[in-house]
Amino acid sequence: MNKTFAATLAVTLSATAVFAQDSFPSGPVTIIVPYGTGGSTDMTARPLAIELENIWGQPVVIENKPGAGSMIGTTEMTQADPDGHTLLINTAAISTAPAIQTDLQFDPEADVTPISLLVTSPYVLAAGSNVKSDDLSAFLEEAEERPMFLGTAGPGSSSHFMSELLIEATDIPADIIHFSGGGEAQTNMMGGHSDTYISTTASVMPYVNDGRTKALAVLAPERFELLPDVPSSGEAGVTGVDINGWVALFGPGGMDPELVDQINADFAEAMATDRMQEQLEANYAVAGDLTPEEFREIYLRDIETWKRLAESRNIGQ
Amino acid sequence: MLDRDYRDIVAGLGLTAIGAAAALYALFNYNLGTFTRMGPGMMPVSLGIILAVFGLLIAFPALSRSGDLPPLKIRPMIVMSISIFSFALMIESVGLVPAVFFTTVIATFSETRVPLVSALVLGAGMTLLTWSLFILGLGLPISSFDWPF
Amino acid sequence: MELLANLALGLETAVTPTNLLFCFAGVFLGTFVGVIPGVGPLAAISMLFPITFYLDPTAALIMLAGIYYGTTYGGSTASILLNIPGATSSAVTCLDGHPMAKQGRAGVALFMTTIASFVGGSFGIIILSLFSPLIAEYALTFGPAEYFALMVLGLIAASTISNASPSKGLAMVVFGMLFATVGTDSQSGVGRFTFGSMSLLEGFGISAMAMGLFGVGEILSSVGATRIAKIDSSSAKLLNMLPSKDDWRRSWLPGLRGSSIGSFIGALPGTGPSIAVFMAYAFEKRVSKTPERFGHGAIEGVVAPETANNAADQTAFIPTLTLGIPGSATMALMLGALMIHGIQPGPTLIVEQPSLFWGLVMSFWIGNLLLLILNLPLIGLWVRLLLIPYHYLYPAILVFLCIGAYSVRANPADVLIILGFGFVGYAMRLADLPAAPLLLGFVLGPLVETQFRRAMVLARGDFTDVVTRPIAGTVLALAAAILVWTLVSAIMRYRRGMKALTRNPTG
Repeated sequence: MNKTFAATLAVTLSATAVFAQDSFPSGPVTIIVPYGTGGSTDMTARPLAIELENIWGQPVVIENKPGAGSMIGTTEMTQADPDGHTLLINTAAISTAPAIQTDLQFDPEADVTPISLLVTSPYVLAAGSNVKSDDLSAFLEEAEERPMFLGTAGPGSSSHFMSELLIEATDIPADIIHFSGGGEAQTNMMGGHSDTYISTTASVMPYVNDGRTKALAVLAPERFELLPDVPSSGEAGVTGVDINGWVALFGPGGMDPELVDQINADFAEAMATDRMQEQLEANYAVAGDLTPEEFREIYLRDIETWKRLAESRNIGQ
Repeated sequence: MLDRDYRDIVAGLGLTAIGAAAALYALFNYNLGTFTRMGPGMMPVSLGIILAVFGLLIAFPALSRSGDLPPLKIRPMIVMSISIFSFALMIESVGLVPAVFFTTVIATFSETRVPLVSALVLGAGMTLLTWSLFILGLGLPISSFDWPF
Repeated sequence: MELLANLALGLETAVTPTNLLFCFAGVFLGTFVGVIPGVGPLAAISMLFPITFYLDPTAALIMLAGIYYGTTYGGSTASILLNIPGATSSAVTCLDGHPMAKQGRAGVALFMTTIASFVGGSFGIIILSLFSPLIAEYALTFGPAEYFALMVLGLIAASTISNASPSKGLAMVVFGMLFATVGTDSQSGVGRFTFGSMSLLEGFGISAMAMGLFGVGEILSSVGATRIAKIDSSSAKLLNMLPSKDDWRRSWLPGLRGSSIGSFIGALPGTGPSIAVFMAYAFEKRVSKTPERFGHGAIEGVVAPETANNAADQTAFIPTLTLGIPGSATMALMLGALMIHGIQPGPTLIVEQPSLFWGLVMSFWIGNLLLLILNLPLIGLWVRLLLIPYHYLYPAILVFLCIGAYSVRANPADVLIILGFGFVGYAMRLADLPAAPLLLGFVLGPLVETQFRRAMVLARGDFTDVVTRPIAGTVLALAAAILVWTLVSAIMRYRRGMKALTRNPTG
């Protein structure tokens, strides 16, 4: 290629980049939700979009691109321009996928820019009526006598990974049983067909409040501020299970750090609105409140944890 | 009338071929497991074998029976394929308006009954109808008109 | 009476002018969107879902529910007239509904569908308001072993729904089950028959499959064919739309049975209307004294699945509202509408939000009534659709099918899937292979496999543990009895045939 031409092109391109960044957003912003309309991730994204329209004064469009355990929508996001006008809201599924899907069409480190941790809460180990224990240490003893069936929302789901993590950390004899989605895992536990289900606070707490399901522990070193009555796994002396569930914002790889900071701040502002705070409260979750760098560390650490676990526990093979 | 019921012979042997292919592919690619702990391969392999057997059960009696072979309509098959393919290609690259217009107009070529002018009018009508229904009315997040360049 | 007080509270909530308006808007939109070939309830609700952000939760849910059963109803209309079902449930209605339309009895079929929708819906609503908590508790006792047994029963009972030879019917059930194995295996997470395609990991969508098999398949086989005599406009006259005394006499019992089957199956989370519809149709055909009329325009074959479908549509709300567990993708959307307004659906919903729950129940009934009032006069209009020359109609249908298939997941690959299934459907028509059993196998197959594998995990590999569970064992015994009865009667028929043949060697 002609050198002068290449140089001109580079200058033009960087000029465009600076211009775009100065006036972000310069047009409608598309947020890809890699799940169906009306799902819990969609339910976080849609009200956020309304708040962001107020902040940005530009239309914010939610595009539902479900499929392949969120990887269809995620892949599409990684192929977009890194100008901030195409973003993705995904759950921890984006961190488990690299551990089980060997044919991913993107590099989770280079092609994804973690921007904001939007919603986070610890996982809860819940048990149905078949389980006599009321807390984790008693449960571990009970499980030695009667091997438990740990229900999951499906192979490769976060409840599956967390259940495997629990087995690895406590060395209890247990069988994993896969259901199709969290609803089935919950009903089968309530009906006494399976014994436990590990899920986020939002999906399990209504049943705990109703008394049909026991919350044995939050899987964290310390108790969770919104659930002061539920003991932590740390209290039972169990370590190595403290990974949190989250919903987070991502952009394509190679985004300008300043732009990432701006979007992070704008989303923090949107999360602080009454509408979002009410929703968080109803879901027993808190806003992430991390810088992009801090969240990036969590994101990469989770990916590593799941990759290691998938190998040691033979998941997805 | 043909001396054998070739329609059922072809249908039966076709099913046998599909069943056998599916069973073999699953056998070599997925773990079978045991009856008590079935692996992902058990069901496809068993279903493939059963389908192959049923295919033979359909084909054999037809050997000693007369029947008709229905004609294959090549023209509509080709035209419909082009029409649907063009929709799949155009809907995300150039938008709903051209996608609907071309899909409609191409589809009319399945038969020789529709004059070109009527086809164009129908295409324009369908474009207007679907645009007002899905984009104006229901607000689907599909772009109506995109330049791919 | 607590129930009366609850119903009064519900009525009070439902007949406020705003809620009544949204109920009507939902039913109205649903009917018209549902008539479009290829747009089923799920697609329609997904499309209209964002509107409900701006409504209060009760109104939002009332409107979505209206769209839900309005679309289901509209879908039956399209499938009866054009033989293009937008959902599994209407695929069954097609079996006898479309032959009726071909016989010039389209008006009667639509009239009876409307009445059947109302009767089935009302039946389901009565069950919903009387027994919700009880049924929800009972449904919890159904574990993998019980579901497995029930699905086996469904498969065996319904495998004879078509009039084709038993080997062809059964072959198609197996073929359908084989198609259903495509995608991620529910127990191991392995992608089966995906050939590296990400779009295939989710498997084939039931609506894309139905649209291809029936919709594109129907177009391919009808295009270029010599037209049968066009229906004359007289069949759109009111007199020709009213069912005869004979129609009524034949219909009431199937209607009741359909409603009961629909209510029961619909209330189980994880089954849903499509299975109820197959079961109701199969049951009618079995108890009928003249099963040979089925598939050739038997009114019972329209009434039974339609009542079952609408009853199941209503009782499907039981697990959704009392347990917070959606029975289908459509129900998951309904839950989403509640969650967006900060209402956690779950076991405490009825107690904490009585006006929402009972208002919804009463609005269901009002919605069904509106559907009846709205649609009886519209039948004449729908029947006139058949007066449009087919060569102008089919390109339009094709476009709607494409948009419908695309809009479900916003994935162009789904459009190609309907083309693929269109060819399969066309080939099956040429080979005289029935499509309904294929759909049956597709719906039940994955449940049979998945639930069996789960049951074996829970039984730690002991099969006797599965068959000795009281509910599962009884249901499996029933299934075995039907299987034996079918085989014995087939052998008897065969022998009688052979005897007749030996006596009459020329015959």
